[in-house]
Amino acid sequence: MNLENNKSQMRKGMLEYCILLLIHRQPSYANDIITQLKEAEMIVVEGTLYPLLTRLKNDKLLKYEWKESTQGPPRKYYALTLDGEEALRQLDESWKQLTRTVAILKTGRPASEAEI
Amino acid sequence: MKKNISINLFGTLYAIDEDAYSLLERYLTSMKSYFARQQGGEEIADDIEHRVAELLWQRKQEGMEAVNIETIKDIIAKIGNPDEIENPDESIGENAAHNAADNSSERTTQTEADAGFHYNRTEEHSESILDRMKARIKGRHLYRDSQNKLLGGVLSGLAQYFDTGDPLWWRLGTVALFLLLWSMDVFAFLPILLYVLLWIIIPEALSPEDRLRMKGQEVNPQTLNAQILMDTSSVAAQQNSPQPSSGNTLLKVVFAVALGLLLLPFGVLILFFLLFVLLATSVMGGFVKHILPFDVFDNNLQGVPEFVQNNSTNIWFLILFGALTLGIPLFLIIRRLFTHTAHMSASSKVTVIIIWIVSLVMLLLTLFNNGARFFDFMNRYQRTHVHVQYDWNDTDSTDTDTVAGFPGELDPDSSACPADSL
Repeated sequence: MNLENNKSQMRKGMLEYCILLLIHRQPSYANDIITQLKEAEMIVVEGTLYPLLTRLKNDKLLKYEWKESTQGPPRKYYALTLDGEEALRQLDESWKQLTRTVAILKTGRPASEAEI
Repeated sequence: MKKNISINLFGTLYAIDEDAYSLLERYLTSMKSYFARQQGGEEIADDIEHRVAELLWQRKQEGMEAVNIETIKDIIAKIGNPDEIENPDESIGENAAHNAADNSSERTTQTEADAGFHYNRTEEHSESILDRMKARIKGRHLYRDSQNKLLGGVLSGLAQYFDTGDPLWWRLGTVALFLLLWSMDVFAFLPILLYVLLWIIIPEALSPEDRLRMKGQEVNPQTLNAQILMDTSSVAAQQNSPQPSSGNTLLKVVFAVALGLLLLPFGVLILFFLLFVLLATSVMGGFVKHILPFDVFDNNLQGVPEFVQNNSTNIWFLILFGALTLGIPLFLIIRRLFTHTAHMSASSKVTVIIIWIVSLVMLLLTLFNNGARFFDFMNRYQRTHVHVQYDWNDTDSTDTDTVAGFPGELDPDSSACPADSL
């Protein structure tokens, strides 16, 4: 088993969920997202974000609008669409499921007891 | 001291060093061409450009006067690898693992294969060596390595292709082969001819992407970035060394002259070949003309463009269209064999096809025209000698100019009904 590979696969799976979470909290532009993801140690290089944002936008989960900035070039502010909110809800569900499963596996309690 | 230019990035002016500018431009161009292949790629490249502008703006606020190359390198490293998470499907991971395994096995067998490559000439264990060669070439594309070139970069490109490291051995081998053949006085020009042929056929590794493919490395933004940065440092090193090209140019001129002298006999050979084809097709053309119930090229050779009829230009037409008709497919086939990808846009394909068809038609017209003239000439020659009296009586002076280019005052009507002369 390749531990590093496993870890990075887990992060990859999480990344879109994290981005949706961040944008759900408040519409933000790439640099905000990058800074917060870096703080959370989700990404190392910032270039990874751009293809992801574009794909989420193409999947109609995100929308953006240009805003002039007093600090440098104009910025794209991303926000969730209705589809995006729905996707985030589903991801929330499956995240809860996952943490529940992990908790069960850790403590060894049978599933019936864990599900309240 | 460095030359400085100013660029406009989304409405803000930046003073940027020339080398930094060329690095930045290459970076943005290669990102653009890389992402162009995927959906929304233009937008991604545009986002990256915006990000670059933003980072530059931040540095300007911090008091940076001019953008230097270190700044650009920093920014490229910061933006890093946009592709890391681009394809979350499993195949990427598998591929990477597969490649890694390949690489490591390749490395362990490298010394063996090195030795194996030389065995190849003695043809021992030819199969396993062939397999090793294939494993070694795998994923590589053949390019001319213009960064390590002496002449055209052919041998350094081959050295890259077969992963044999220093092209010096290829060069020494080629020179040795040439000297050997020369001393034996057989086909000494062959290595040179081959070299030139390869020079023409193999494309040069121009872009960073080409250079990655040449080395058999995966093309992704990370490797691209690394390649761009590496190219920059090697270019800088080249600029520092004094007058790197003057010796090269002299060498090239000498080489070209020698080549011209060597190619001359070939040109003559080709000419003879063309003449042979001309004769064969002429006879055929004349034959076709005579077995057809109607006259394809009647007296005035109607239907054939005027300029083709002009006898003195005929030979040049033959050479030109013959070379094009034969050369284009040959060139394309050889090119296809040696390079894995034929970089050809649809429009240039259409152009090449049109040129080829036109030259084929023109070649055939010229050849048939010649054949028809040849037979006409023969007919008239027969006539003038057999029925001298009849011809002289029947000569119509007004039509004689239609057969200009043929000796004698020949009867132009004689070929209108060729059957009676046979």
